[in-house]
Amino acid sequence: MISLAGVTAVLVVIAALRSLEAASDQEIVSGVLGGNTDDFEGLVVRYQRQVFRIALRVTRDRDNAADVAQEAFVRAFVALKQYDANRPFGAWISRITLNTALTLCSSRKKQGDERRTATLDNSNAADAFSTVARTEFETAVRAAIAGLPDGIRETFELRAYADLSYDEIAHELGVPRGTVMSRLARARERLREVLEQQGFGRESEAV
Amino acid sequence: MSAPGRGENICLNMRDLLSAYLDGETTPEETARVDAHLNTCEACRVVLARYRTIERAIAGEVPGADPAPQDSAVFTDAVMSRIREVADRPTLKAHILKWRTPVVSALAIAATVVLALYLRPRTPEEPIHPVPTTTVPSPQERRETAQIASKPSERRPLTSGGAPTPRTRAQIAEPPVVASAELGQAMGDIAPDETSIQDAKAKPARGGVSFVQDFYATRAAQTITGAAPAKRDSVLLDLRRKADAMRTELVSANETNSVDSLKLLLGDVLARIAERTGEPLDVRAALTFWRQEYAVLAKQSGDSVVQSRVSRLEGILRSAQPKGSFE
Repeated sequence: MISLAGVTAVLVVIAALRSLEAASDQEIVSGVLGGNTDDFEGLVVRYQRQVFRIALRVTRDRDNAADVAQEAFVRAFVALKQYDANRPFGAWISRITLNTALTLCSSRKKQGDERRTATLDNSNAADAFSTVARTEFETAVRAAIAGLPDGIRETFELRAYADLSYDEIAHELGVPRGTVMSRLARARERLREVLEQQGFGRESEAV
Repeated sequence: MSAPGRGENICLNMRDLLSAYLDGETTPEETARVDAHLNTCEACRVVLARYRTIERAIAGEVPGADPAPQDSAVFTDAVMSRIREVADRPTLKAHILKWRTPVVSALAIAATVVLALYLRPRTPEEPIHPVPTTTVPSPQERRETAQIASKPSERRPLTSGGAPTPRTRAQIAEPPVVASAELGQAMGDIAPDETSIQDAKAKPARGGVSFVQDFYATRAAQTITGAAPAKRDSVLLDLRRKADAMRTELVSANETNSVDSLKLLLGDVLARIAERTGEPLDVRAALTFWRQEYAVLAKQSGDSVVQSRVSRLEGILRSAQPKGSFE
């Protein structure tokens, strides 16, 4: 008798938790499209870390990343009707974030924005050296990515900056999964070649 | 595609698989295959390690930066207030749609009437010109349409902070010729780089490296031109002395043609600066110094790899290179 009551209690608790469970992305989207603008906050809370991380990877600067993240959510809201509810919302907003960040990078550059980015701290002399070495390598990697052919570059950026899965990239770009796989492999081989030609071989692995 | 100049060649049948393995996108069977292959193939192990190094350089977090907005609640509020603004403001398209129907119908009716009057078989006593119609938009309607059209954009600027301050940008025609750096030109010759800094600022560019270049330009302007000159000069002087001493050491040990030995030298020199001064080390100054060291070494050794690194560092320091210029 007691065990029956216990099982019932557990079931009731599970049911209660279920109803408290947050609405799915798709439910939120349809709510927002139905006119409940404030529901969008659920998506902002859920995806802000992911969006910010992508923005930070591209911009390498916290202030710029915050601007990009804000702009990405606004763009997603404006374009919400175009979102395909059968696909993960995370991949969709990641791509918007990546494009926003890349656009902002080039436009800020054109405007000659002289915002400061990270500074070097010399609290540790060994760190200072490795930071300079890392900066040199990161600069070379970014330049090498910029030099990839367009289709390959976009695929690689979606993977490397936006963390999209192969299936998500395939859907976003409208190409087969196998194409995504071979593009990424080509991108990596090309980057490796270019960097090796510049003398980044064994030594850069120690950095 | 050119073959890698040096280093390992990936087993061709493993290329796609190795890349997918890195991304965790292989099936369990494929994973087992790659694992088995890596156990026997040194070249592919090295290639995989290089891929990982590149991944780290891209995904590595900015030092000292938590990968999250400073304050989640503040961020959420800021986004939502912009979104409510966007949602409340009817779009231009909505305005057009709202007004299109009455305006277009009115115009259509007017046009029909005019056309009908013209096409109607004329009788001699009729006037040639049609009578004005009353179906054109009323003044009230027109006023409202005009208001909509002239409504200023309310878009909030993206940045809350200061707008970029305009600066005078000196156009320097000739960037410093780095390869001419001589052994004897040892003392405090960081000054010419102010020109390359100005130059870098004067040439905006696009591409993946833009932020890094922003960074150098900004840091350089702040640190090299702004720091107390006396202290910096003595630091550079000391730096030069140390570097020259160490280079002499390397030359006598016949080790000048190694990038690795140069890196050791630079590491030591940079460590000394860091120990001596209480100031943050300036990346651009360090890279400038580094480039000059490469230049001297390239001249002495004639090593094309070192020379290519000199060119690249020049590119970084001077201004943006066009896309794909590293190939």
